[in-house]
Formats: sequence, C-alpha cells, structure tokens
Amino acid sequence: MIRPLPAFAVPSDFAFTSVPSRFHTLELTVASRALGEICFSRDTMPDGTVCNAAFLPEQRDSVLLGRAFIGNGYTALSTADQFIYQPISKEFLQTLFQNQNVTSVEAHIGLTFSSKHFSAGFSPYRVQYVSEIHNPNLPVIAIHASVERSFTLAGGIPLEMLDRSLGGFSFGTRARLLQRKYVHGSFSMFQAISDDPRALLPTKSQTAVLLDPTLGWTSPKTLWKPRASLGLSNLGKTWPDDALFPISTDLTAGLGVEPPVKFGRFRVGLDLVNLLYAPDLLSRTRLGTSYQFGVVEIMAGMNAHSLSGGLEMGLQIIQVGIVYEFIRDDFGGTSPESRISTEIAIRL
Amino acid sequence: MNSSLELFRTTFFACLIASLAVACAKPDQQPRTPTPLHEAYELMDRGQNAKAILLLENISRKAPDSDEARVLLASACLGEAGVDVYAIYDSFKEIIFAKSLEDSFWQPKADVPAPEHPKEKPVVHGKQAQEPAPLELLIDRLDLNLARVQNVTNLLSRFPDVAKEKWSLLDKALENLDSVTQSRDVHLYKVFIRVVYLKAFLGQEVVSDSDFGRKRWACKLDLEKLRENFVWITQNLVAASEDFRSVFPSKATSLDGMHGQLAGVLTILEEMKSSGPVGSNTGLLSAQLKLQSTFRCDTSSSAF
Repeated sequence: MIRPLPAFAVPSDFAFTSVPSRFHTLELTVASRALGEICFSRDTMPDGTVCNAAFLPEQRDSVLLGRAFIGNGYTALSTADQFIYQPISKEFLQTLFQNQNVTSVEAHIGLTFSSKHFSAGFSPYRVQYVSEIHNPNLPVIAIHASVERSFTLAGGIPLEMLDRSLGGFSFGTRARLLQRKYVHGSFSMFQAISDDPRALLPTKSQTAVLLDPTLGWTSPKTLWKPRASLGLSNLGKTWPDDALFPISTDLTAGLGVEPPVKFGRFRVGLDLVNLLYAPDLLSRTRLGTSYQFGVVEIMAGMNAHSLSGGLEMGLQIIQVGIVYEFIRDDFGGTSPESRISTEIAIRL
Repeated sequence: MNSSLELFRTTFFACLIASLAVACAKPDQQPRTPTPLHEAYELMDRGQNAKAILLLENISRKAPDSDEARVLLASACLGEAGVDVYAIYDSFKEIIFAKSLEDSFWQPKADVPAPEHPKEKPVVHGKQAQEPAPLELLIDRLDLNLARVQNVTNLLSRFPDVAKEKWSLLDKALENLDSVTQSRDVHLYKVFIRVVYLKAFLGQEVVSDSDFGRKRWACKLDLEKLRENFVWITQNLVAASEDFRSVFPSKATSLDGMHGQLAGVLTILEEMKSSGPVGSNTGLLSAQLKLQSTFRCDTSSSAF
C-alpha cells in the first residue's frame, strides 16, 4: 500500500491512498469498461478498433474513429482542470468540502485509426478526478486528479508469413507514449485555511514510453473459434518514477471463444493480467462477454473492481454507447458506487 | 525445422496453461481487512458519534500512542456535542481572521491589553477620587466590560449552543487533542473548539440572566462566581491565543484584546480575594456587601 505524506493531522489510510484502479484503465471507452476491461482475449472491440495488437491482422476494414467519452459527475471537470492547470486558492480548497462524500469524473477524447496490420491513436485529453471526504466533525478530503495525453502506435503480423506451419499464430506490439500531470493528496478543512494550497497538492508530471508485445493464436475454423494470447505489458520506462503509478513490466494472457449462435455473434473473453504483481486471483482476472446483433452490441463484464453492463450501437457514421457500472469499488473508505458513462463516436 | 515449430507451439500452450496456474497462485499478502478505525470513520460518516466515541475510547486504551484515534475521538466528541463544523466554518474564519477591527471582539484601542494597575485616576460619580478604591475600580471596569461581554456573546450567536451537560465532551475533545502531536490543523481545531466553548460558556454562565448588567443583577452578583468565570474565560482565551500563534506566529488575533480587558477585571477580583484571610472568600464577600450597599440593593428602584 502506498502511504502518502501525512498532509492531514495524522496519517490515515482510510481514504484511498493509492491511485484508484479506474485511473489505470488502458482504454477509457464504453466498450472497454462494459467488457470488464478485457483486451487480450478479444479480436475486435465493439467500436471496430483492435486492442490486442497481435489480432490486428484479422482486421478486415479500416476504421477511423473520433470519440468522446464522459462519465457522470461531469460538473467536476472544471475542478479537475483547476487542480492541474490553474493556481489554486484557499477559497477553492474550502469549496471542495461542500461536495458530496465521493465525487468523481472521467472524460476522454481521442482519435483512433485501425487497419489490417497497423493502428494508431491519439488522445489529447483524458481527465480523471476523484475526491473522497470523511468525518464531518473534522472533514478530511483525499483527492486525485490527472490529465493525460497519449499517442499509440501498434502493428501486427501473422506468423504464417514466416512459415506456413505457424498458421494461426500472430505477433503484435503496441507502443505508447504517455504524458500525465496529476495531483494526489489529502488535507483537512483546517489545513485548507492554514497552509499554502500548492504545498498541499503540488502538481507532478510524468512521462512514459511503453511497449506491449503480444503473441496471439486463433483457430477460426474450429467450432468455437478459440483464441489465446500471451504477452508482456508495460515494457519500457517512466520518468520520474512515482509509487502512485507503479508501471511494472508484467505478464498477460487472454483466452477467448465465440460459441456458435443462430443469429448474431456471441463472444466470451477471459483476461489474466498482472500475473506477477497482482495480489490475488480476483485482481488478475477480467471477464467480458458480448452479443452482437445487427448494429447493436450488448456487453457485460466484471473484474476485481467493477461489475458492468453496456450497449453500443452504430448507425452509419455515428456510434453511441452507454455503460452502467453496477459496482465500482475503487475506494478504501466508502461503499461501492454506481456509475454511468456515455460515449459518442464518429466513424469515417 | 518442423520440430522447432512444434516446440514453439508446445511452449506457447504450455505458457498459457502456466499463466492460469500463476493466476490461481496463493496471494502474497492477505487482503486488507477493515480496522476498528475504519469502522469509526464509517460511524462518524453516518452521524453515529456516540458509538464512535465508545469504539475510539476502546482503541485509545489499547493503543495509547495512536494519534489518529485520539484526533478522531476528539472529533467524535465535537459531533456528539452537536457542533456542525460545516455550518460554522465561515463564521469561525471571520472571527479568527477578522478583516476589520469593527468585526473583532473589541474596539481598536482595546486591542492593547489593559495594564494591571491603571495609572490614571478613575472618575466615580462625577468626583475626582484621590486613590480609587478597589470596589470603585471594579465597578468602573465592570461597567466598561459588561457591555462588551454582551457584544461578544451576540457576535458569537452564529455558533451553535452546546448544552451544559455536553460541555464534558468539549473538555474531552480538548484533552485528547492536547495529547497528540501538535500539527497546524490540530492547533486550529483546538482554537475552533475553544471559540465554540466560549460562546456556550458566555451565553449560559455569564449573560444568561435576563437582568444582566442591571441593578437587579448587580445586587445578586456573586463575586466569587464571577471571578471563577473570568478565570475560566481568560484561561480559555490564553490557550486559544497560544494555539493560534503556533500556526500564525506573526498574526494578531482578536482574542488578544478580549483577554487583555478581562485580565484587568480579574486582577482586581484577585486582589479583593487576597485581602481576606488566606483560603477564604472573606475579601470577596466583604466587597460584595459593599457593592450591594453602593447600589442600595435593599431598596426597590429602577435599573442601575
């Protein structure tokens, strides 16, 4: 567990001390969240993009997608921006204590291009904000806010190109360049009037260059079209290092099947992530399933921190999606919350 | 070549199975379980401060070095006493960081603490006295300060009133905060509690009488009780000022002026007490009788 510096009167681990898991979501999209954040067991995502680079060779059509994702609590967007980009005053800090016990918001805009063998993505703005207030008799607020920009390049080739007997196998790599600014800390209401606001919540920056190589296998002619992948995640460097964002190289695996159905397409995927560093089975497991019929795809997913369901629909060039996270349990000190997020994308 | 490729296939699926096994491996660390302190937070978040107090007292007994438990206990006591921090936070800031002296407890010239033995000769009933008697000084000072005490009480009316039977909770809160590491917000929290306590004390012990400041009040005035009250008030103000200065050493506070004025009255009362036999209240009782005689308390008349 990461212990922050005791900004409050006494150190407390009741409010969240590490970055909530939602901040580590690889792809902040409706499809990703609705599918329990699986990636390695999935060929194409409901929006037509490919998450696992090893399965890029299966991409039939090219896709250019511009999307905007926003979660509920969007009124806190300006608060998040203020923390990162604006000078903060004591009066501003004091208004935070008038918020609800837990306030959170997530938003993301991005552009993604995906084709056979190659994909690229650019996200100029991804913001996440969480605040948690406890003890109305001596209110203490814990805050995490981050704004990120990222650029992603991915490529995948079928290994059949090297040798025919390797049919079914493919190799892909995704490279990510990430830059984030964030604040993280906690303070009491009385500290808000006595201490320098920026000393309470200094803005930090971090840059990361990461690779995610993956080896994939599919058997499309088999009845349930099984697929599997093995890979490494977060191979690279971050600077400066920060225990809040412990980017450790780890192992991943994915298993997916497509049970035959009379109408539509039904897919189930199981991801095993952070095999080396996750503390238990539940933390390593992500399960996602979807059923596509026509232009609609219904999704359900679960992982260690959430149980979710969603829907994505595409009409001509517009794609819309909604995800309802029934139980989002990121915080140490509060009950799980329910969240709704929506997304609109323009597909070209 | 074929054997290499077969090895590759085998290795791939073997690693896949191994990853399943690794995923199911026994956890390195036990899952985080809620602690009693977490339960205390949850109780206070739900407003169940009485239960939180019992739990935190138990925790403090078992872990006397736990600053967190003691600070939480102090805050639970404040919650149980009915003090809503959110509701009076802005008022607290105004009181402490008074923007203009008009908003402070006393007028500008009263910010300077009054000397213990004033050098000027007081004027009593229009006559210039050679050496004012202590009683005359007391009357003069009381006359000057009682209106101000009333003003302060009115100024603090925005704070909640804590019933007398719950004052022990405020004492307990302060006692626990005194025993922890004195960080900046602990100091400010103590100032906050003392201001709330001062308001309750002034309203219920000092100015509670509807005849306050009038002849009827003066006739039944108990100087020993008044002395004890002023002792309590000045001790509270001194402690609050010290806490404030620990956080803002270069700032003055409106509490200093109030303390200065009350200290003058208290000095006179202490001198009266010490004029009698040691350990007795004879000095004050004697002064009390003279006071009643001065105000002609045995006759019924209009207010003083």
